[in-house]
Amino acid sequence: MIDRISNAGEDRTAPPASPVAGGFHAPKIQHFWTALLAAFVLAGPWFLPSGSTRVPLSGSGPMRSSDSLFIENGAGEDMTAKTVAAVRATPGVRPILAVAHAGDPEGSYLANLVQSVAWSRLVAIRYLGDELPADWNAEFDAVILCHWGEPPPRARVIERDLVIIDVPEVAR
Amino acid sequence: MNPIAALPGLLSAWVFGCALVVLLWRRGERLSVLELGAHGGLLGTGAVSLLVGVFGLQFRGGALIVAVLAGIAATAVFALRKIHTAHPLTFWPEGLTPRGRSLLLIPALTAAFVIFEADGFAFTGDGLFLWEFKARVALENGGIPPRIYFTSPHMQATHPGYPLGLPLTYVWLYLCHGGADQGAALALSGFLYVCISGTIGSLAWRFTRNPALAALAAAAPLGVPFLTHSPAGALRGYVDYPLGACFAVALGWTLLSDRRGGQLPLAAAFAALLPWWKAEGVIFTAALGFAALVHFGWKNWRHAFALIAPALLVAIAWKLVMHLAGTPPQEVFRPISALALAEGADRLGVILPHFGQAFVTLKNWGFLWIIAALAAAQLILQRRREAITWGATLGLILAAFTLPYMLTLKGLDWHLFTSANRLLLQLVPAVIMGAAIAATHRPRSVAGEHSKG
Repeated sequence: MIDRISNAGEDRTAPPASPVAGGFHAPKIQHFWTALLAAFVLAGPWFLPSGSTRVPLSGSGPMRSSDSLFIENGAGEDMTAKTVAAVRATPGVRPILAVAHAGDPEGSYLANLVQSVAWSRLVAIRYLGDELPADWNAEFDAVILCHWGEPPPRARVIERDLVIIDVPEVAR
Repeated sequence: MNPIAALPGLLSAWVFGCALVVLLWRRGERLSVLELGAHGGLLGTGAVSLLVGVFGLQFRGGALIVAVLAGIAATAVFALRKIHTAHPLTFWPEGLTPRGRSLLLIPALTAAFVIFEADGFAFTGDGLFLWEFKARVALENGGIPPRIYFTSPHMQATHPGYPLGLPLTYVWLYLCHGGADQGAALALSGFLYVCISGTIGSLAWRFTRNPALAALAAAAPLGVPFLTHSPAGALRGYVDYPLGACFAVALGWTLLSDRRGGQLPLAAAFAALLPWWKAEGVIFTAALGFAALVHFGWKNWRHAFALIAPALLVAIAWKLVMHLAGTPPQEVFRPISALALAEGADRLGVILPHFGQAFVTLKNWGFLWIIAALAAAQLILQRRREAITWGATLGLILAAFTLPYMLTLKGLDWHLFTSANRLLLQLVPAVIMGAAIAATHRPRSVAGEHSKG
């Protein structure tokens, strides 16, 4: 019984039965598809952004992708290494809290960046009003203020928009 | 950032992939070195992360490197023995004339242009916050993420339940380099782009035996601006394009196989990576199983089962690991239930038009939608069986896209805006493959024989 499937008997992984160049018997449809794909490949670059905005990243720091996002947020240069160093210098083993003002996209983005680069200490993110929760130090060893405003006294300033407050500082 | 940092890891993953392809390749058929390299690169990057994941349960750091390298070396030895005894390799694809070989310059030049441009790209969004982040979490722990990562309520925003295909490939690159370097991780995107172009070209060649069509199919991703140049494209560390490519490659080899099996083991290996790259890979697996059932006939269901069995195994194993790790359910989506789906169905009126509108946006997709429409039309008119296979699988993929939006607990508009275009990347290899299938010539005699049945 011949198989019900139209091409199940064909084994097209095998070499072609005839030489390829000019060997197929339905060139018109293949010419059509060749022309269509050629037009597609040629037209693609037409829609690309005009002019090259390429700024090579090769040769920059190993965490340049993270750094470039910090820079886009106006947080400063070499922020990945600075943030990681600041978090590692934080005493204790409990998680750290990163906070930003609710509805502040820059602060929110910075908080996510901090969480992303400062792994090895768990970083929780919360979006708040103008006040820190009174009992934050019951659960966390430090709080990182992201795009929060003027740094409070005795806070460790990582960069303009990023400061850390350690538990002992608040406890005093 | 230093793309060269990726070299030791990529080279070993590529060797691993090539060895797997040789071992899975059916005896008696020839495979060109060019096709082997492309398939090996795509398969190897996913397979090496599986190896890191499995060995990482037992080993850390240097011991993990040694264990993975031993696995790669053992596989390579078996592959060399097979090459020695079965002689399956040629350098050029069989039947490719010198003129046809010169056409390989087209995809080579387009790939060189794309890679050159990609040196100006940094990670964005999920590429950094989800995938590369998980890699550094795992690296800090010596190979795989620590248990606390999966259970901590503070980490839930980074989706600990997502599969680790891409992050553990990064981990392998980082381990081989000796430290995290996002340049190495970004280099993987470029490497995958080249390999995917090669596999698409290889399959287009196998379907059409037309070198110009094959070369243009391999170069076709350049026609998709969103893929090559957008902030959420294939070169910024997103996993959607490799996921779509593995699906298209598995589908392609399935359709090229006959009832005797053909290259089904190779297709099954690519299918196994689907749920490992991304959670929706399970739906891709289902689509592939359906395609195989239509292609081989319902009576030959064993072929379809053999095709998707490794993928199901990977998916079940991952679910089991997540269960044992105590990962809490995600709070981003409602759990799948009849009630949730019924309520989410109201959103289809927003979701489907959004996808339709996104797909015809020329600055993102060029006129890929015209290719898709013409391929569908020709398949429906002339190759109905393939039309069912191809159309139904694309339909299932679309269902895979809509499901998260039906169940999302985030704002629907926001969620669609941030990720719908990126999901469409998953369709690109399958659409190009559809064009190749539509251009496939079936001699009249063969068609006649089958029509008698």
